[in-house]
Amino acid sequence: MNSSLGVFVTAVYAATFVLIFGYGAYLLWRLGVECEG
Amino acid sequence: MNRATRKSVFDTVDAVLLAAGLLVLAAGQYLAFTAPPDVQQHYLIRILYVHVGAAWTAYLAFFVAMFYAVLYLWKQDPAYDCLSAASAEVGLLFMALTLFGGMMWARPTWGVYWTWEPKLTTSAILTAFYIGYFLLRQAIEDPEFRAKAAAAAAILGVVNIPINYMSVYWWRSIHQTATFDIINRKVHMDSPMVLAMLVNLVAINIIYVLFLRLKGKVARCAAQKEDWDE
Repeated sequence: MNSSLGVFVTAVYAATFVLIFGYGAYLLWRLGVECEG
Repeated sequence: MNRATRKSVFDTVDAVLLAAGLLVLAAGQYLAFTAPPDVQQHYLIRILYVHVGAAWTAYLAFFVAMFYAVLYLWKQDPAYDCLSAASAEVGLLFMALTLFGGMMWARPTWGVYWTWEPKLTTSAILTAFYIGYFLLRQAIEDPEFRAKAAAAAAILGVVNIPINYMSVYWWRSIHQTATFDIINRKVHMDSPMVLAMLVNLVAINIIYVLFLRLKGKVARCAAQKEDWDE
């Protein structure tokens, strides 16, 4: 694979997973605040 | 808060969904990064394995939001309003991922991040509609009126989905036609690529169900607190 293209695609995947797992972590935090607080 | 109550907030079903989502997502990434490159798009095709799954999951989430909105109007149970709003929020997240992945794919392919061609324009309208849905919810203080207005908006919102899906057929432009062409019953991909795309689609759907459950619980707890404060 062209290395710059590979880095670009991997970076896009990383940003995607940061958004998904970030939202998941936010939901767990809100669950603690709203339902257990 | 005792241990039993804590367990009931994040229950066994949530734990199973989390484990299944992570496992299937890992399998999806393995398949995505071992599938052969596309003849024209080369390794950029890998962005589409998540882009398409996110788009289909966003469509599903908006239909589920409509389903719970109809249930709310029928049964008048605030729990359905919470679930409708929860599904719309998770749908908006996946719509944002769809736009992000699409823009990252478009820059090296088309030379621009964004162009006002029909598919992208209808995607922007779909996203803007659901941002408006949440602005509407924020603007109304009365919980009952807010739930009714939001239900009407959630039902109206799904009109955008067939327009968005069909835009590549109705107004041919630079966006490629659907990978899973349900109109002509064709799949425009080779088997290893289809498998990578489908496994990622399943993973994203499992994550969607988990997020819907968690957000639904958060919304119900917040609604209960709102009732106590009044």
